[in-house]
Order: sequence, then C-alpha cells, then structure tokens
Amino acid sequence: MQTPTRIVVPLLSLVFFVASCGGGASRGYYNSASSPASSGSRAARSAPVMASTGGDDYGDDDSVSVEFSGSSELEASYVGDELGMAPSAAPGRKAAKPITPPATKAPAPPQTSGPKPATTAKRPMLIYRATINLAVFEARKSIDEVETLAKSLGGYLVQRSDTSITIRVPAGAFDNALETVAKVGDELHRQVQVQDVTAEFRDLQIRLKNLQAVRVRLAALLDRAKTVQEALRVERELERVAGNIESIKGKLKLYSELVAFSTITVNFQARPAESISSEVNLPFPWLGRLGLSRLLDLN
Amino acid sequence: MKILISLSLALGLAACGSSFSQPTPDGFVKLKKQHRYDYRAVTADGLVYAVKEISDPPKGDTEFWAKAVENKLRFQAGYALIKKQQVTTSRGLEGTQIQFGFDRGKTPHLYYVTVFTAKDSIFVIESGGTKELVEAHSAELQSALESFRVN
Repeated sequence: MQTPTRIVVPLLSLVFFVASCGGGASRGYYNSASSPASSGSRAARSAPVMASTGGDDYGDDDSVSVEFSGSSELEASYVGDELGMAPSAAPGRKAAKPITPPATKAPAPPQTSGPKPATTAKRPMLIYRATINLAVFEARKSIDEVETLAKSLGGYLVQRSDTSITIRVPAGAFDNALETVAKVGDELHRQVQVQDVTAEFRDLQIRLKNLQAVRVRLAALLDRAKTVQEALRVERELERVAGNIESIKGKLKLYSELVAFSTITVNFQARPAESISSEVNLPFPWLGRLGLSRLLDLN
Repeated sequence: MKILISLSLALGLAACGSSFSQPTPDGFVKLKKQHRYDYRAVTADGLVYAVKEISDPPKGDTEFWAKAVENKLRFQAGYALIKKQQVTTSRGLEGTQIQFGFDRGKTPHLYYVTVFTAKDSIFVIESGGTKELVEAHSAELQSALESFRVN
C-alpha cells in the first residue's frame, strides 16, 4: 500500500491545485514546476507539449512569457510574443503589428517577428471595432474598394455581401483605414467600440502557465505510477488538464487576433427604422413624398 | 362681406392658374394628368424631369428648404449626397441643387433635387434616372432648369 499512497497523495494535491488555479498561483509552485519533465515513454505519449517557463519570475508582470515546445500552430506565435502574437491562420496575410493601439492616423512601421521587449506586457490589450453606414450608391464598386483597401493595409476580408463588407486591418492602421473607408461613399453613421481585454488576457495567461506546470508534474507522476490503475487515473487527469490548456490557448489566440487586427464593418443600406426615430421629422408632408421611386413611377 | 367673398374668389382663381412655366426639354415628352406633380416629362428611355409647387409653406429661405430636403433624403432614406450647388435660371432666379446617388437594385441611379423659393411658394424640381441616362442627358437637364420661370 505504500506505492499507491506515494502516487495518490501528490495526485490529490495536484487535483486541488488545478481546481484552484483559475486565480493566482504561488511563486514557489511555479518555480518547482519549471523543472524539466521526465522523458519516460508514457510521459512522452501522454504529455507531448511541455511547459517551459524559462526561469521567469511569475510575480513579475513584465517578464511573463509562455513558451510551448509542442508543434501546434500556436507555438510560433506565442514564443517570445506572449501578448501580441500575430495571427497566422489567414492566407496571404502580412505580418501583424501586435497590440499597437490605434493612436495615430498614419500606419505604424512594420515590426519584425522577433522577441519583443518585456514592456509589451504593460500595454493595454484593446479590441477595436467600427461600423460605418454609407449611403446606398454604387455599393458594389465601393465594396470592392474597401476590400482592396484592407489588403493594401495588410489586412484581410472577413465577409462580404451585396450590401455590406467586413474587413480586418492591423490595429496600427485602424484610424487610417476608417477615414479612408468613410471617403468611399457618403458616410451617414459611424460607431466605434473599444474593448479592453487586458485583464482577461492576463488571467488566461496565468491559468495557462499554471495548467502547464500541473501537466509537467502529472507527467512526472505518470512515470512513477506502478500499476495500470494508477497510470489511468493520472492519465485521466492529464487529459482534463490538456483539454483546459487547449481551450485557454484558443481564447488567447482569439484575443490576440482581435487585438492585432481591428474589425471594420461597412453597411450600404438605409438606416433601420429604430435609428430613424431619433431623427427630427419636420412637419412638411411634401418632404416625405420626395424620392426616386415616386419620380420614376409613371403610372 | 360681399367684398371679402369676392376677394377670396379672386385669389382662389389666381391660385388655380399656373404660377410657373417649364418648357419641355429636348427629347422629353410632357405627361398629362399628373396628380403628384405639377409638371412631369419623360424621355423614351425613362429619364424623368418633374416640377412640384408647394404653395404657402411656412416662411423659410431656400437654404432652409434645401437643408430639409438633404437631411430627409440622406439620413432617413439613405441617399448618397454627391454634390450641393447653387444654380441660377436664365431669368436670374437663384436656387439650390442637391445631387444624390442611390442604388435601385444593383443599378446606380442619380437623383437631382433643385429648390427655388419665390412668391410664397417652394418650387421643387426633380430629375432622375439611371446614372448612365442622367449623365448622357446632363445638357438637356441643365437647359431645362435654366429655362424654368416663375410667373
């Protein structure tokens, strides 16, 4: 009974830790987790992605970094680029300029993809979204122009229809893009939203680090398992932790993409009735009888 | 009392007469029995030119009415403002023309609204059609506008 006790007690500790790792984490635990995982065969099979903390001090916000040694798509973006990774999924996309708030109108100079200075982590993570309503005239031509603009700025097309188009442009070119889009047609309405996701992003990063550390320790425990039953219990826990890690990585990737690329939607249609109600309606009925439809209705 | 009735009748009769004249532009045919317009003419391929008189409106200058038209069509109907300019008829009547663009289906159209104020009336001249047609007949439309006259 000594062997199960050796496994079960640390396992239970880990389970408790994992359950509580949504919030903060202790520096001591983090440091101990940074030790390299054992390379036993079961460990390699069960935990193909290892956490590498690089000796960073967990409590120091400026030096938070997450590195994956796995072969996932996220790896290239996360290594040395923990906050401002450039999304790499869209085809033909230029290198993103990560986390640059659109404070200036001119597009920011292109950045290389090397490791960024630690101060990057202090920048706010802001997601910019804008909706512009343009009057309905030569919509197809205007939509083409908006799409071309997106590509010329290093952005990409998200969706387009006969009456609307949604593009994403590098955050640094957001203001520039917005002003250019407004000139494509007669701007009737504009709405710009900014969402600060700094706190959520940091929280997700911390949870990710903790879970990766837990995974390393679980992999070590798996190596020490003496029975199949022990191994299965550890593997179940590993599977759960791996699932959580993937989920968090997905959210981080989404946030990073939304921060790195601002979204602009252009609608070519008359404003909906509920918006119109806020306008002043002058009490002159003849104004309401103006319009092409009446003019061209010859019956 | 009789004098008042006579005066009212006289004024009413005077109002029945056309207070403006609009020569029909080249290439257009004037349409009869127009209940929505005081004058409307059309080309064979569908370009329309029309005049509407709004009698005795609240007192307001051309700038006011032109702005009211612009706001109504832009912000409530979604027309694109292309150009706004001052125009003058051959008789020196000054007005404001607002040029709009609008897609009917997928076809771009142009719609010009010109506002004159004279003799306690607002005169609204509308012309419109596909962008191609309006641009092709721009000289005739311009000539028609210049020949508009308030009697």
